[in-house]
Amino acid sequence: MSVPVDIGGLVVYLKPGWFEAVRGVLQRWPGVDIAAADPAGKLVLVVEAAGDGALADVIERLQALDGVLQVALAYHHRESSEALDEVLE
Amino acid sequence: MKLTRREFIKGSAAAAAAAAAGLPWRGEAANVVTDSAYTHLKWSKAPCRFCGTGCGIHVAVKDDRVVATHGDIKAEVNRGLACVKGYFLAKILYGKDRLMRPLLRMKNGRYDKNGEFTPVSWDTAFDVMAEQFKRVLREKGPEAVGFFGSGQWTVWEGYAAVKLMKAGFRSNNIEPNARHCMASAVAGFMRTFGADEPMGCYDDFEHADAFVLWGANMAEMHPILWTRLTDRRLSHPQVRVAVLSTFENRCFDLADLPLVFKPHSDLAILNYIARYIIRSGRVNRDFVERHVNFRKGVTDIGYGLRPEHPLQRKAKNAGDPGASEPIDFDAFARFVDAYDAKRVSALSGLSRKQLDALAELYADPQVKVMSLWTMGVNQHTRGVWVNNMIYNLHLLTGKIATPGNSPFSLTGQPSACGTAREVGTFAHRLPADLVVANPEHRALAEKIWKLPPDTIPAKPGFHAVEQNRRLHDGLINAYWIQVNNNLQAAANLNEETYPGYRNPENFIVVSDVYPTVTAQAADLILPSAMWVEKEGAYGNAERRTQFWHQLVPPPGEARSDLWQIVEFSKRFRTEEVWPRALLDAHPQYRGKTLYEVLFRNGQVDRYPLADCDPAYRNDEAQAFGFYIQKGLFEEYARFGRGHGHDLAPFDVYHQVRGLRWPVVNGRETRWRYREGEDPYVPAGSGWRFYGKPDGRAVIFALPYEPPAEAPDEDYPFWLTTGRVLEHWHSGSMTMRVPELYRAVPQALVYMHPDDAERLQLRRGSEVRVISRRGEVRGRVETRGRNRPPPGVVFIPWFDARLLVNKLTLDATDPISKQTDYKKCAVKIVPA
Amino acid sequence: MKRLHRSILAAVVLVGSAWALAQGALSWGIRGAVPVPETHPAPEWPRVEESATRRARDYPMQPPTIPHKIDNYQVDLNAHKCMSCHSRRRVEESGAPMVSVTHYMDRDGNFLAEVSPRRYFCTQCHVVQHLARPPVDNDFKDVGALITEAADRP
Repeated sequence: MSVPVDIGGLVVYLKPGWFEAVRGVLQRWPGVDIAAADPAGKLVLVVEAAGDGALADVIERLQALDGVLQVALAYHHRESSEALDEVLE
Repeated sequence: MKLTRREFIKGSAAAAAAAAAGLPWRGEAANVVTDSAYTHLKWSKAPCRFCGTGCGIHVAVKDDRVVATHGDIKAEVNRGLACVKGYFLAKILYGKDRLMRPLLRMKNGRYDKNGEFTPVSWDTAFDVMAEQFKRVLREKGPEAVGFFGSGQWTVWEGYAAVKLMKAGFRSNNIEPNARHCMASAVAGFMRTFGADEPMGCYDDFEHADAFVLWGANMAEMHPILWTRLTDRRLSHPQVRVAVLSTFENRCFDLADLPLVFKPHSDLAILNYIARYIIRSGRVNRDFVERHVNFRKGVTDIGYGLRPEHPLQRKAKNAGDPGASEPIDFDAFARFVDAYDAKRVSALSGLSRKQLDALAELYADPQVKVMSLWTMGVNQHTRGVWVNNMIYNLHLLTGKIATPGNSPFSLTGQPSACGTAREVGTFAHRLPADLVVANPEHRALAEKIWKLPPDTIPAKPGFHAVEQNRRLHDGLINAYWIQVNNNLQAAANLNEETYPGYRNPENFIVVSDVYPTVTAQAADLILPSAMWVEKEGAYGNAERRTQFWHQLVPPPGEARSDLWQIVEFSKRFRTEEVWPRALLDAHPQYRGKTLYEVLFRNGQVDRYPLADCDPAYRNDEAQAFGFYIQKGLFEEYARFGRGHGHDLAPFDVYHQVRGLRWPVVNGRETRWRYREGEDPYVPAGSGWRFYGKPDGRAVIFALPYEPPAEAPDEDYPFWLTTGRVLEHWHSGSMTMRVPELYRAVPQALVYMHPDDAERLQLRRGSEVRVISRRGEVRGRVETRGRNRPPPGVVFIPWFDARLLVNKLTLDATDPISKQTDYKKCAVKIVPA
Repeated sequence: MKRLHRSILAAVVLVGSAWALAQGALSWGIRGAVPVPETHPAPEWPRVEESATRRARDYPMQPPTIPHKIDNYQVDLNAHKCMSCHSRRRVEESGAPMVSVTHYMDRDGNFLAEVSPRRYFCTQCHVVQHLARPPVDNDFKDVGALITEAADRP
């Protein structure tokens, strides 16, 4: 069965001194990859979330994390999981 | 390189977001390496290498090395937590003195007991070892060889060792160090329920209203279970915690009812509680009438010492210590009525008020009680009795096998249950609660193993302590020790263990990862692979079977214990180890190696290499040419399926975070013996203790009897031994982790400040601690984490420099043959 | 010249360790050179290492060690000494690091307003360090070291 999948590119801005703690937490979140990071207080995340509202849930959970100042969605793409499995040349 | 649409889109997402953040994408971001070829870590699951809690660990691997470990958020046991040892697990593989090559004591190019350790090839090592084992088997027979393993063996390692010894060498002299650790728990289960291992599970922690710790210092020894207990206590203010111990420890920080009692008086306290339940009219009559029998055990059973010891000669029932006779409820009530408050207060040092408050937790029908115990109860010359007597309380009140009502025997090793007990690596056992003394059980094992009848000897082998005595006396002469440090662990090191290993008549082989004191006392050292350097399976204290894949290669020429056992079996032909009569009757076995008979039997070698997960290495499967772990496991699982010990299919365990047996129709069992939870309990019965033929558990009338050795004028202190949180068992792994070493760099002598003052000692003074058997030196701690009452000292056993088992007495429970490490008499003098 | 000197030294060390190995290997391990039947003297009384700087960690999930003494700290049903500096409300005043966000998660992964009771006893994960040199070194390499090694390879 094919489900809609959201792929998001996110920028997470952090409070001073929180970089390591938040990065440590996010390294363990399923479906979340840290694509780039700036120890001065920024994390770039790629999030894959399957099902309606799942990406919004992840963003909400991010915003609720201690040490997180703001979460911005810089890129968004929605497609079926089947289509995403297609192998490109 | 192939790219999926998903990866392409994710790349776009990362680039767009990085641009928005003003960060270079796949560029030179300050201090952060983003090239995935460099930073990609492979994360896999594995159960923790240490205690019997069985936490799930998430293990990161890069370039064939373990680089990080932390609690697995998906693991039911620990949900993302780990104790300090678990967080530093990654480092236990990398102590600088890892053993990498076989080392043989040699002189002039030949094996010599007094020679020097010399690196040799595996071939030479096995040649010499096989020659020694064959010589001893030829000259003295199967009773003169022995194998000492542990509850740290993986399931298939223990199973392969049992097959090699009991069927291959036809010797029942195989024991695990679990004899030092869990034997009293096992005998307690067998006597009360007729089946080993707890009926409840860790889910009980989230349901109980009261926790009673019988000597168990869970805050240090089972830290993650302690977090579950703490969570329950602090989130639910009505919950009560009673902590019983012979000295104050960290658990007392959470105790509503802190109870420091005199060593050995637990027997009397338990009878007082039974008396209190009966006198206050709170026996669950209906439950008792339907599900319980009463019996009275024999008394005056001795102390498991050598037969010539005066205490042994004096004991009336040392010959059959486990005997008992049926009685009725009234006789039981009369028996415990002798344990009144005055008598029990005098024995235990607890006030009547304290005793009643404790008893009320069990008596109150509204309170769901979880009892927890480990070494304080099991390492006890009456340990089986104490196990039986704790069950008495739960059976009298019917507080058993329902959520939160749980007599729970904790374990100390990661697979004490899964391997030592379930596989049955004991001198008297076979897999799935079968025993060698029972002809039907032997016949079943021989059938499953495709062996001729009467291959397995009927007489139980020698238990661990007896093996040490026989090594000492030159009666066991070829001995293989794997995954444990028994020279440091066994009691009475000076008089029994060390002279036994160094006895010129004996050949001692030690397989280990580090040069422990046991390895140093051996004649041949074999370098072993550890933990995620091999594929493995462990079973924890709540009957949960957990698997892991091989994640990294072992260093140098180190090989897993499984490879060692199976490879060694290739060096024996049946006619070298089996009697002529057996082969004459079954000539088809003639001329075959033990490897062919035991491991190429059409079952163990049934699964091809193609069945292995291609994402992981499997050195043993590659070495033997088939998926040996799967073959061994599936053959082993036949013992228990359909008999209340059902295990799931092999491949399932690689997918899940463990399952609690019996696993029937894909469903695990959380509460055994309870209708609706346990598929083996028939509808309409409520409970059924099906380990017993009539389905009834047993309440035992058992008395208080004094310990084997108590303080006197010459040796005025009780010595009790144990562990600390930061070090596991003999410290061979944790003492090589810098953070753990620096956290607790040495074993201290914990004592009461008044005792110290009287002896003119200060905190930090060096003292000599002396027993009738030996002497050690350590430093005094008067205000540490353990706070003994006057007259008691505590010394942990992890320190290979101190070696506290030079002091301890090798007195055992006469039924379980487990040593009492908690009670002997010592004196203390300034160094 | 210097290089020659170093290789001689290395050869001496090699011969030395081979010799130690040949001597029945009694100088290995935690116990060192004292034979098992003899009594090992007690090591020196260890002092707690107190450092002002934060200690490096080998991987992000590793619990930080405690850089100060915690003798007689009361952490029980009545009081929690550690949280008097490390709790969210106290860190500004105390200058101590705040407990990690993971500590607010309960067993089911929900975030709580206060530190989760399952994290109540700090010393289950966080330990002091003594000034004591481990008798055996450890060759663990953190991921950073591995990456540097890999990047240095041609």
